[in-house]
Amino acid sequence: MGKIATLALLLMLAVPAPAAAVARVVVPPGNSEADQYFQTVPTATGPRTPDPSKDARDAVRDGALSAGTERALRQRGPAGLALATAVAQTAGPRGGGASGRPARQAAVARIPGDPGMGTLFPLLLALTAAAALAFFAARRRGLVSR
Amino acid sequence: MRRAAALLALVALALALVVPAAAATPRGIRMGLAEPAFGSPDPGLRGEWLARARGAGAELALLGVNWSAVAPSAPPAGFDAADPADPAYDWAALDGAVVDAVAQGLAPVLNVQSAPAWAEGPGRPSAAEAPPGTWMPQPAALGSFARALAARYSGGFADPADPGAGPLPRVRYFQVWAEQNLSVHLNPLWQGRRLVAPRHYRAMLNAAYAGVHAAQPGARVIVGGLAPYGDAVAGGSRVPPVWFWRSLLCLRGARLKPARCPEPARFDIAAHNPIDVWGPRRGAVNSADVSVPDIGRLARIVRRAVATKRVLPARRKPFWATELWWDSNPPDPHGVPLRRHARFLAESVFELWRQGAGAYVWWYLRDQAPGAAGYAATQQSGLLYHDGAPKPAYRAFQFPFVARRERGRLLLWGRAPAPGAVVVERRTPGGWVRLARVEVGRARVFLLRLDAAGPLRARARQGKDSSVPATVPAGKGGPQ
Repeated sequence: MGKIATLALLLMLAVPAPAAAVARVVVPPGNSEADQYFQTVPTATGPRTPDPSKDARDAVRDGALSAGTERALRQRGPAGLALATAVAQTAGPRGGGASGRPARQAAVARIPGDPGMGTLFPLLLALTAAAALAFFAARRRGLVSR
Repeated sequence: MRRAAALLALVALALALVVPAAAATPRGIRMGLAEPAFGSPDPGLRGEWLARARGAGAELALLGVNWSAVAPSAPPAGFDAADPADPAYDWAALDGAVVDAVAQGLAPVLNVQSAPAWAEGPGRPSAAEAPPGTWMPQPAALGSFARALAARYSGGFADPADPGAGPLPRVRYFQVWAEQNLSVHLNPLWQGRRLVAPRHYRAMLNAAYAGVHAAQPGARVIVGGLAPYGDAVAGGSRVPPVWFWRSLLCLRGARLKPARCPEPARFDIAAHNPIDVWGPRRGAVNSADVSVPDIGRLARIVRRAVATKRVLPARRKPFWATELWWDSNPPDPHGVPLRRHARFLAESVFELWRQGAGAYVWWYLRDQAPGAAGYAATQQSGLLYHDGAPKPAYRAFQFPFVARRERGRLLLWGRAPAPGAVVVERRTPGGWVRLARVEVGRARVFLLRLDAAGPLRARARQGKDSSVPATVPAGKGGPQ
């Protein structure tokens, strides 16, 4: 059973790895030399472009972090800021909370032209599950030794 | 004796009263502009836009020095690269720009870039891999050119081609390269996984420093401002500025451990180009990148280098921001709206000032005309539209003013067009009413902290000049 868990874990870790290697790109607004002055941030969620509009900047406030938590994180320096930004930019849409403010789309957008993983991701998940089941069945039949 | 003692006591008392007041005077920040028209071969065009720069309140004019255009394409026999009078040099356009800038009361900052082909290093790859002028510019050749440049603009050089015109004006500031952490400006950045550009740039910088100071001991050599963002991977085409600075100054790792450094970097003024992705109040996400609020990352490295003599002369280095800009909409549909454009300018001046910057250079004075590809390939960051009409950013450059709430108090900062009285006003339904009055000195900068609750719209006024109004929402910081 330990091997199955290890195998499944390894597969799960392997699946997002290509996405993690891709940089997220942030470009200055209207920048004519955007290929020089953009900000890249490694992310595990694939290639994303945060929207530099006010909505994106407010996403931290309206996202998963409370204002106090966000402030505390920012006071921790660059690492804290990076974490606060990452949370804001990967948080999904949220319903109106105690503040009664409407839900706001998370501040992420795909890089134009980037298709993402599309149907590949569920396919990989299904293959992973099938492999784990096959391994488990084979071991019960004694085809795989401990 | 008793009278002398009484006199001394009086003097001491007077000093005690005066010194705190002097110490409380805010530092100044010099405002500068870069503009392609400053280097135009057309004297009329050049003069017109230099005059407009002065009118905008600029004190510095950043003039590009294209080494490969001034120097001969192939050095003729007997060419003396360190001699400003060598006939193979073509200084005509630069002479005109320097003379006209000084005539307008602007202090030129000469930014040297782009090596002639004969001054590039061996093993040059194709131009696609390393743009012309960027491949291992040879330090000795750069040092000779820097010496000729500083001698020509030492204030005592009469051009033999036009001896009746008197000596050319003096230039005090020389900047060595720009954005040398990008492969579009310097190559190679990496050899395999080894970062090599900072070491080569150190040799370039030191040669230029020696050349400039040999010709003009009182001149100031400025490090080329680095681009703000890099790729945090070995072999990338952009080196993160913190990595570049650490390597340039022989400091290792996040703790800045001094490394062996046989030839420490030599410069007088540190510089950076904190061109921003978002607004000027939001720092870079990567800790090795340096945006407007992150100057402390560089200042820490430079301070450590001074303390460990990894930079010479080992004394405090002033810091300049030598390139900032945002494109505006209109005219560029992808630019920021005009009011935000102006606000970003004022906010970035303040953010850099409060981090110790001594100079701020905005690119450009005037929008460039749209190219064949529309606005994407040209810059619309001007204080003026292409036709010369002012944008709100023009006023923000002349009279930057910031109002925000910090720690429960109202912070008001500004840089007035001239020394004298400044009135800060608050908008009410009945019009503008006085909120505060302050006397600014030669630095022209004021910083006030007031107790004023609630939302606020404020502006600063000096005579007929008034700033772009700033809005402070209730209960939180200023606009972003």
